[in-house]
Amino acid sequence: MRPNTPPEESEWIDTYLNNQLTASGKLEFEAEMACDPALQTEVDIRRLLHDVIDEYNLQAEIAAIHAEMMEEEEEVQLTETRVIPMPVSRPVPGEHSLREQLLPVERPLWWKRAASIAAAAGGIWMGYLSFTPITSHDGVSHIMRGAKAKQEQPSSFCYDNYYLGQEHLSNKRPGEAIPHFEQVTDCEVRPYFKDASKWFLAVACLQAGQTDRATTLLNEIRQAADFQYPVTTVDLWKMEWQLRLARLTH
Amino acid sequence: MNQISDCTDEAIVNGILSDDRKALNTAIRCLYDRHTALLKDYVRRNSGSSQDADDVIQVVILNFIKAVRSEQYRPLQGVGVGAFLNTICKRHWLNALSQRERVTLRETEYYETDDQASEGVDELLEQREEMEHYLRQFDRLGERCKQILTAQRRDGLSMKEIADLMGFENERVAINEKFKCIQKLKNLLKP
Repeated sequence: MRPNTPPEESEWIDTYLNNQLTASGKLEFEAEMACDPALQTEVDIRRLLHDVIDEYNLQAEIAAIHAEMMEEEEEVQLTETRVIPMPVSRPVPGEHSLREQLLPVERPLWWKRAASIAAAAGGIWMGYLSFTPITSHDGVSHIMRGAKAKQEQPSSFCYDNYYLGQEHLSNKRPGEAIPHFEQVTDCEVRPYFKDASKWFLAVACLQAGQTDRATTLLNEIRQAADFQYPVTTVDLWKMEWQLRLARLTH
Repeated sequence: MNQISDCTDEAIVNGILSDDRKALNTAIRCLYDRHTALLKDYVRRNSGSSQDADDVIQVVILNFIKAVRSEQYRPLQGVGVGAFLNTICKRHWLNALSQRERVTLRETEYYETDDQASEGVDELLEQREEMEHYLRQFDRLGERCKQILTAQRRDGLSMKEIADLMGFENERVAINEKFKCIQKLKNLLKP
């Protein structure tokens, strides 16, 4: 039955246009429309309004997706972790020639990626050299070092100093380690221990802020023709880098 | 960006024709994912800024959806989705450029010697101009009216649900409010 107030009639029209009337309700509506041109006109207007509203909703949906996609694209550009693949075309008739005319100008980002990877790797390496500790103890056992004579046993004064120095160094007490290594360098022991002590003395000086002395010792170690203690290359790099940093910051 | 697995022309068209909003959303994402780089590039290479390119992309996608729904574009006509999008993009952008009086001779020549994909695109863009006028008028409605009208069409809510969501006293009040909004919109759309 046709509603008798304008708001209800308006709702009735929407229900018809949304296909929500029952079969008999639909027939009734169309019968009313056939004999009432004003209702027919109103239905036409409401169809247009629906189109406008749908279009508005669609625009909003596209705009929302657009914003989301742009945000994702910006994130990709910021992190440079991946490249948005260019569209790969299938051989669709009519598309190939257009694609050729509209060749993408998006340049491959390989060089940017390579540069950022190199920068990141460089940063990690610098961080490693700057902040990881230099080996502060002699990892080779006394026997493995080839100690044979009784006098080279760790009970002697020199060896006690050697190990005490390492203990202080390992426990972040470089100031206390320095005199022990100085004692060993003055001892009559095998060159291995003298050289090892010189290296650990340099490490202790660096950690104690005595950069000049550490630099001098490092130069001596580098220039020594037959340095017995096997300092690793990485530890040498760490020492040099950390000395540079210490000079810059002081 | 999550890669969408099925972005064939057929899947895109089916998504647009579907009543499922999720399918439409996926189809739009496919269009962005697979086709917009070329279109943006075209706009930027033809006197457009990145902002112009972003605006054009949205208009192109909207027009493409309209073309599919009105059957002005059919996937089996021998024209790929990419080619059709390119044609809409070029036509729309060249129109915009001529309005700005910046169109070049080369572009004008190209405009006149376009390919088969251009059939129907001019008509599509003309209809678009009319709709743009209506949309501008719709935008002049108050936020509350826009909410009532769009929520019902977009989410298929009943007037009872709209009354609950928008804090109207009851369904009747919501129906009266909606009626007022429709009258207001009709007045705005009057020539």
